[in-house]
Amino acid sequence: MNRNPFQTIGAPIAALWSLAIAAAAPFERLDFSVELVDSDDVSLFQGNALTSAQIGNWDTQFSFSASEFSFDYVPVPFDLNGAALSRSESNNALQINGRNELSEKWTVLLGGGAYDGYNNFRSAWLDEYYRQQFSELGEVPGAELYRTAAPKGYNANAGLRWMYLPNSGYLQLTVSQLQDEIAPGYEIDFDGLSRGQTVLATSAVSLSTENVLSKRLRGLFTLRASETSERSTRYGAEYALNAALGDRWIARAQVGGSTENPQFDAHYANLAVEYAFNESISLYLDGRYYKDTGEIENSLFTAAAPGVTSRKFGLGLKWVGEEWSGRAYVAPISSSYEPALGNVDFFQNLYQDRDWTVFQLAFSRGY
Amino acid sequence: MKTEKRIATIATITIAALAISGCATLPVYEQGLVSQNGMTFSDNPVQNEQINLLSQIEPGSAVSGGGQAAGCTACR
Repeated sequence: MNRNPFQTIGAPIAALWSLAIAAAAPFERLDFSVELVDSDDVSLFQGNALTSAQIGNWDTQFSFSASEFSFDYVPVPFDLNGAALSRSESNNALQINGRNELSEKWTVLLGGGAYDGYNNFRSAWLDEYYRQQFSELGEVPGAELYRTAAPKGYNANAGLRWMYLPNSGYLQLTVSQLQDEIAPGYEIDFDGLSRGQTVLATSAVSLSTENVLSKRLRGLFTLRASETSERSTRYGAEYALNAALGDRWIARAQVGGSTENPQFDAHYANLAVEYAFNESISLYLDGRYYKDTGEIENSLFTAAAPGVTSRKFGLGLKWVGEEWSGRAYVAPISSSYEPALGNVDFFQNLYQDRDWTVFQLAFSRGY
Repeated sequence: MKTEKRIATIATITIAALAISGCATLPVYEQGLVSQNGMTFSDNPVQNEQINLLSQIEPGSAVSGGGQAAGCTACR
């Protein structure tokens, strides 16, 4: 898009927050990162700041993220109520996570967070469609159901880590509860306007185990299950394997997938190869493939996305110093949708094939 | 039938992953290669190459649940 992403509020807020924290002494670590995912009609930006501090027996992380999603809304030609426009939405999120080592083997985890604003551009795009269609229905039955959306959400999590092999392997169980107030979907028929769910509750459980498999292999396996209001349970699994191919070469592989009844299946694979020029500077190349069968979106009546396939190839540079370290990354991504079903004809400009470019910049300082 | 196939797939992946997970301690002095930069699973954005916004393009890869990242063994 023809917008300067650094004019968005995300970067300045995150940068100022980071600098303010950097000036404070008792913190153990400061991370700062920005990422931009850009296409011809959609621009996504996020700035993140994280700091770590020891508070009593708790190793505590405070993180803040500011995002901005900008898009050109273009209705389909047969949408007689539609009007083309540009829209931007922001999202601010705060998360606090703490870890308390009860013993050499056991660590308890607690955390919570909140956000305000749309958490993806698609929700905002759909909200614009519903606003143009249903915000001024006059005397139509159910017209009073339409309301301006103000998405926000909260989460809380608790977990336990068992270090069953000192320095070599652990098992971690985490349970989470999330509540999201969403931009609802609307539908109109001969009975008038009806509205979809406005609040979604999600319960999730995650089981992870990381292991040093040999002198050259480290693996991380994660199983996830989550259940969202009036939806079937979604199961996910992911295995990541890091391999030291030599003193200078590293390979990182990741495969994963998720499934949910009645029809959603997704799988993906990722491979990165890194070469270290010396102890401070390394370069890496990565590639990723993702495919799913189409999304389930119960919060909206007829806006489920068709299946999507995406491919990514990227190049990154890392620098590690005594106090500061950094990383820069760029990658093109192509995403292509399967032909839209009849009930999402109005959303074909949302679910269109896109060529994206990803830019990432990250810094970390240890104290 | 499809549900049974899914359960079987998940069970197979789980068993396979657990089977290749370590069950013996490797002494710390032999963990030099697996503890170097790029080899640990970290939430540090310099070492963790995750793209947070990618889930907007790939809805099936979203880490749901808001739970804490697993972190890394070597640095804990």
